[in-house]
Amino acid sequence: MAGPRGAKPTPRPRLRSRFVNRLLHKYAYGPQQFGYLGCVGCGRCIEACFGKIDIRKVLREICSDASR
Amino acid sequence: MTRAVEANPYAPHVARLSGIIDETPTIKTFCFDLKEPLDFRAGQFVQLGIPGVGEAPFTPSSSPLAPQHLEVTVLRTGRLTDDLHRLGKGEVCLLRGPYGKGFPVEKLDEKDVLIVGGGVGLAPLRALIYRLLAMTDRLKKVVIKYGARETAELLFRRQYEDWAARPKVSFETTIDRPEAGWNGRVGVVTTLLENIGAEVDLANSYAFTCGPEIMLKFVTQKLLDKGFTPEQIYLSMNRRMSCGIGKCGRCNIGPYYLCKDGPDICYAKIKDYPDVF
Repeated sequence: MAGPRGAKPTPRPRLRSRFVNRLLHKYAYGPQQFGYLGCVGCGRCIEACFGKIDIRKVLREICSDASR
Repeated sequence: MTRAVEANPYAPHVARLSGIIDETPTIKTFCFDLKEPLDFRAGQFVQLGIPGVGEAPFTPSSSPLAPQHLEVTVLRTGRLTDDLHRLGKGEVCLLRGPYGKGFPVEKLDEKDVLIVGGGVGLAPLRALIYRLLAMTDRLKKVVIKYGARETAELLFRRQYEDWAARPKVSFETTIDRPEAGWNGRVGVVTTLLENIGAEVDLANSYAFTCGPEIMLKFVTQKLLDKGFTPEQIYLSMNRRMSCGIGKCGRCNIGPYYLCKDGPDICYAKIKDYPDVF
């Protein structure tokens, strides 16, 4: 359901789903759907993140895992 | 004069209820007599809303061939649907649409069509059934399997006999648990698919299914086990939608937006992405 603030139930109840979607929708699905990345590299998400999740670190870890 | 999606795609129309049908203790059908008919394909959805509460996607259950008598069948399941169920005849709600692609009816020439519904999932499938009944000369056969929790939850029960009597159409129902007075099949709807390989021509069939997500998961698995390919299975998936027009990305499965590429989406497209079921 869409609606005013506080009314929307979460589309992804599991934390893992939310995190995976955040990553994939910017860097994987965006290029697939529109032909360009969903990220311009401004760094605001890194500065703002309360959980100190640095998305660059996450991407580097994924890439190093993939190249092994 | 028909109404297509207009210049401002977010602008809802005010739709007045011309009638309400109590289908089951938890499901009602809302009937709208629209000033301008809403041309929709079976499977496309509209966003019904109540100001200050919210809006949600619903797939019309009426016939696409009768666009001025729009019917939307709604299960009471949360905040918005509670309020929708409290509306009376003559009251209004907001409506915008139709969105989505709908069922791929153009693919069905000379095919066997299998329809598997669970609970309120029969609502979008009824629009498809109406559409198919108008084109049975182009189809090989239509096999409908429907399951509900109990007899009181069998949706559109008064129409089953009529559908089963149509040429080329078969209709089978089941309820989850035994009930006094019910002499029909008992068990979840997947139990009706055990012999599906003998009932349809597997190489020339399409399967359309709609119901609770857990049911979609098991029906898809059963169909794959019985020899359907992922390309032949279409799932009517509903997600938490927001914009409904392919902009916000809330309803995505992988790179597909259910509001734009669905809500009836081919299983082959989505099967490798996370969070399908």
